[in-house]
Amino acid sequence: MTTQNLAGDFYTQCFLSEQDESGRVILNMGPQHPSTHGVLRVIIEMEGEYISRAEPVIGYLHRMHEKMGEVKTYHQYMPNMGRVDYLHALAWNWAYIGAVEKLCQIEVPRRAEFIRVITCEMNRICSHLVWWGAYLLDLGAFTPIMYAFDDREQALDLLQMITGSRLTYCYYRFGGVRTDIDNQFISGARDFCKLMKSRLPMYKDLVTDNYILRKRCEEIGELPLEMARRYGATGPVLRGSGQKYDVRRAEPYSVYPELDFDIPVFNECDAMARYRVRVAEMEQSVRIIEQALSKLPKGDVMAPKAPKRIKPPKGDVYFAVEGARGKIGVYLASDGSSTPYRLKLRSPSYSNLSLFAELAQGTLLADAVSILGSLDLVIPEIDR
Amino acid sequence: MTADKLFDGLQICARTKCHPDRCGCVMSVFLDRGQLKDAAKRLLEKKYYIEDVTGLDVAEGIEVLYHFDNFDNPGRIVLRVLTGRENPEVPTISDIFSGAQWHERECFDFFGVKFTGHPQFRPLLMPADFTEHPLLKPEKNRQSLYEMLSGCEKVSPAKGERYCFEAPPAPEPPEASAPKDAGQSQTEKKE
Amino acid sequence: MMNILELIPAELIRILIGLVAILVFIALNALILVYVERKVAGFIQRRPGPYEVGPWGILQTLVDAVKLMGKQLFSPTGGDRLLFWAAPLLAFAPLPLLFLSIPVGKNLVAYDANLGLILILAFSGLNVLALCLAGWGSYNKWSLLGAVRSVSQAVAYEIPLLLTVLAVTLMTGTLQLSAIVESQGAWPWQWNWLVQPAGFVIFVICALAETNRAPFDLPEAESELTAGFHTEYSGMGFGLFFLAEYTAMVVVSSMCTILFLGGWKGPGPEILGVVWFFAKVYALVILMMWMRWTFPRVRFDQLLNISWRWLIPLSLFNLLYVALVVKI
Repeated sequence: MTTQNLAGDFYTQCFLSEQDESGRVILNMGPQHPSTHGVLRVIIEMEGEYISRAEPVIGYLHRMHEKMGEVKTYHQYMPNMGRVDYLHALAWNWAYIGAVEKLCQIEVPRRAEFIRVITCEMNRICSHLVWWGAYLLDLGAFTPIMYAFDDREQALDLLQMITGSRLTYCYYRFGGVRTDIDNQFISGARDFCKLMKSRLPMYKDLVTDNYILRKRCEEIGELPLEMARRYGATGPVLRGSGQKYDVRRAEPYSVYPELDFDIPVFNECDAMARYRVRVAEMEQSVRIIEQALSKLPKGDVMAPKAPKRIKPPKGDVYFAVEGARGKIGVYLASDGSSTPYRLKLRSPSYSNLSLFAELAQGTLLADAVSILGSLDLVIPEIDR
Repeated sequence: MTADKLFDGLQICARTKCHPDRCGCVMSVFLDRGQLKDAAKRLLEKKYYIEDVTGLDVAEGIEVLYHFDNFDNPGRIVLRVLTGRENPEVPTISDIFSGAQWHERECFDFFGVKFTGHPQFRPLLMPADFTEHPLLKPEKNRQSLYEMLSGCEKVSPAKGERYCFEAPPAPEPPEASAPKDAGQSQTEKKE
Repeated sequence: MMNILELIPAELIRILIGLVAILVFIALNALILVYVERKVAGFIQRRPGPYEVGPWGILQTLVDAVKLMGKQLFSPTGGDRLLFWAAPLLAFAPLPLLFLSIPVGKNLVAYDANLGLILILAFSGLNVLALCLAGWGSYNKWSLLGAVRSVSQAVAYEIPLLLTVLAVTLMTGTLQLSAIVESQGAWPWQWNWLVQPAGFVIFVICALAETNRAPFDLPEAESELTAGFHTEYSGMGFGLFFLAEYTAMVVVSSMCTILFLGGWKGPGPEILGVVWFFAKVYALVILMMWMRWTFPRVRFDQLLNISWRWLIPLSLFNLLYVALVVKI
């Protein structure tokens, strides 16, 4: 085989044709690369170790969830939502269920709303813990991911108790949740909150304050607010750029308005700010869980009048929730039949990744890895 | 609300106020292709950010939806541009909102809508040699756009390049305009 | 029969026996160190580590070695096959030579060269060449980047390393390792590390960088360069690099022990010298493992900055200090 045969596929050819100066090294980072977390591929044009141009290529995990939505009935589609974002599956559950509930105007019992909040926030902590471990793995620290998974295991055990699954949840139902939580879960959740409260300061001492880590994150990948707005970045990526925006507060849903929590915001715009936002968010999620547990009302977990067969009226609806990576939006258009007419999934990582090309320009390869990690990408969510 | 005055002076086709608790949006704006860029520029000036760009295959043609929201004064605004089924073309707004680049490429993958002026117009999620557009519906399944707007106020007479809501082909006005509730969906269920 | 044996100089027999002993030691050492590394990692990460194969998993590395040997060897299309296979051999071949002149106890040295220090420094420099060839011969951009990194890293860290070694030799006035050990006393406060603590710290940092251990494992930075220079190696090709890495760890730890920690000297009878020597060496090795599993990786420009901005000036000052204070 000669070098001509190795000239690259369609995307590499496109990338090459846009090259303004020849002789630079073109690197394919991914789809199999340890720090692209799954099957993201980034084509990189390098000048020495500096990146002069980068282009993410996605779609390796594309499953066409949106088409599946048009084929399956409303109930049949529910398990799909656990598979869009495997780290914060419950938020996607909620986004879809919420959209349908909004369209059909189904009332959800208060107890179910609180259970949703508790489980969703617990899932958010799990997601952030995985991110935390994986990000440090990207930066070459091997140990934190083991600690993160250890903690996450506690939460997964609890969630498994009530949802029946550990990763790809399908727990929320139209008009409530599948199972009620029992005392065992409640005491377990309290213990988990206690555990997290003792762990987070330790992680700060051990990892966040580490000089090498700070040198790897600070002033790396500076994302100005104006650029975040142009790209539609949301979630911790946005809040690391100094914008106090959280769907739980901006477009309040469920019982979040009744709960007291802060939206952590850091103004440094760099990877470290995004890191700090996520770590602070874990603390806030613990706060939310504790409050929700103490406020948990008695009653049903399924709306008694919830329809068994969903056939929403004609119309369209947009429902957004705050996922671990940002604003998860579901746009649903119904033609009155038992399948959605159009189902659009707005995934936050998709918008967050699209700004990578601009952010990575002129950085070192190692910084690009750090930036990619700080965006907290979940590839199935991007490709859908 | 400032959102009401956002498009003053622009030649928009129509504008409807929506019920945020019913359809999640504050306003939907019906535009012609030529007005899209001006509207997007307005939104950028007013510090809106782009949520997504998506398509909707309806009887009238392919409608491209742009969802925008604001960080400081939340309230979703939808820009709707209708384009023909043969050779669907919409000008890109990726030079205004950079984030639209990928959303527009995705929209091309799924619906075959061409975005003119897009700097890197090539398939994103679909394979490069894939010529189908999976979200296009067969003729018999298409619904009228006019009927699907029930979550919003009834569209005021809209006339543009393609929008023509004054005399829809076969509308059933009471069903289309009146907002429905859960009770009605249950009656439908019995049918 | 006797005549033939008498014809061979005793020194040569000694070297041959030494070499055999060293080769056995290298293989055993790698087996043990890999096991220790995984147990240390397990301990730091609060997990058991290997425990399935044999009691407490002690046979795990043996099984791994067998697996590595059983794997198919292949070289990448378009690569330079000669260079590709020369690299792991070149990485491994000089290692037995490095041990030749290391005194592990009183009179326990294969060949007590009077330029032993130079011998070790010279042959350990070959390692860079091996990484360079591996990177080039692989026909893989990641490998090439790893090779480029390893060369510039080695160049940057060889200088402060040599300067600290120079400071020690300036003090002892000899390049013979056994003589350097002899110049130090039996007790920890009589060792060189107290006389020049800066030199000791610089040497340890440089040793980490020279052996490509975390946090300076940039040539094989897993999350950036997939596996750097050994991305394309399978089976024992990779195994030899692995062996070389673990042996290099012992070599630099031995060097550090001899130069700064009194070599085989320690309290108690001289027969305990071997025990003292290996205790010190493996303590240093475990320190290196501890660092690897604790710290994130530094960035490449930071790595070079540490050397050129801090370590080289510091080691120059150290040399000056040794020259002025110790000599006068």
